[in-house]
Amino acid sequence: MWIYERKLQYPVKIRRPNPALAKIIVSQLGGPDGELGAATRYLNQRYGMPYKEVAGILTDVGTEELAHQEMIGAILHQLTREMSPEEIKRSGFDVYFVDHTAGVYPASAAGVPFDAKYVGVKGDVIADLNEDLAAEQKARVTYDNLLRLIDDPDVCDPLKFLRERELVHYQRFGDGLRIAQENMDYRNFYGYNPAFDRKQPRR
Amino acid sequence: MNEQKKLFKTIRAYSFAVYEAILYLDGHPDDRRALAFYGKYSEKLREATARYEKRYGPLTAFGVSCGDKWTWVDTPWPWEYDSIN
Repeated sequence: MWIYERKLQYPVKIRRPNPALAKIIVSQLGGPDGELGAATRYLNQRYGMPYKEVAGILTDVGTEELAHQEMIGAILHQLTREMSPEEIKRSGFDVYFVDHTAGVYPASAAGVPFDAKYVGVKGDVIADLNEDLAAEQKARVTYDNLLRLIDDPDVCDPLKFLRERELVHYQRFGDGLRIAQENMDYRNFYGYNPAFDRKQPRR
Repeated sequence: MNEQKKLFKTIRAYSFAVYEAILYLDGHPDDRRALAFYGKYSEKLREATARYEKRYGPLTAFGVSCGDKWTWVDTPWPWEYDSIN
């Protein structure tokens, strides 16, 4: 079960609405390396994870990703408040507006709706943890690219925080991979999958 | 900055520190410095949260003090521009 806390993990206060920015930032909600995919990936990988510490990392990082979805939602919501039809047309937000108005819909910057294909759950310890390490780096690159395109400090500030969290999560998944490898036969990590093949000794 | 905003900011900082320790401790369950850090800041967080909820209203739906009206939904939600978030 989860309990909702009435606070964002990091503040979002955007003084100047700007739908053109919402149009690209939406990718970090519903794009290939967005926060929706991240939360879903980690929370769903837990069930096959035989090592309790690593299941803990997946639970707690996955939970933080839910809070990041909310931060991106807040950014999109505040960037698209009080828009005039002229602004919508001028900013290029019209192609999103026509289907979703100012609602927050998980899609990529190119308008592709969220797809479960972004969620890697292989049911194999080594494959899943390497998927997670790559996912954190891909999300970091996406934040880097957004920060190259945006100069409003009110928007960049929470995006920089989120970028930093990708680096921390990458470190934590590194801990997870180390723990998994310590528990597996160090002579042959790739010889079996402890999430499926039974009777593997625990270190 | 008014008192409420200041206390809210403090809670967020403690909460961040504790969460960072949680993620680290998952993978380093015997790290005594991290355990001490976790203990210190989760106590500060508990104390600040209790003080905030008593004065300014609930932060979770489990902290609502009920008179004759449900107040959980009264204040702006954190994604709103005008909220304390």
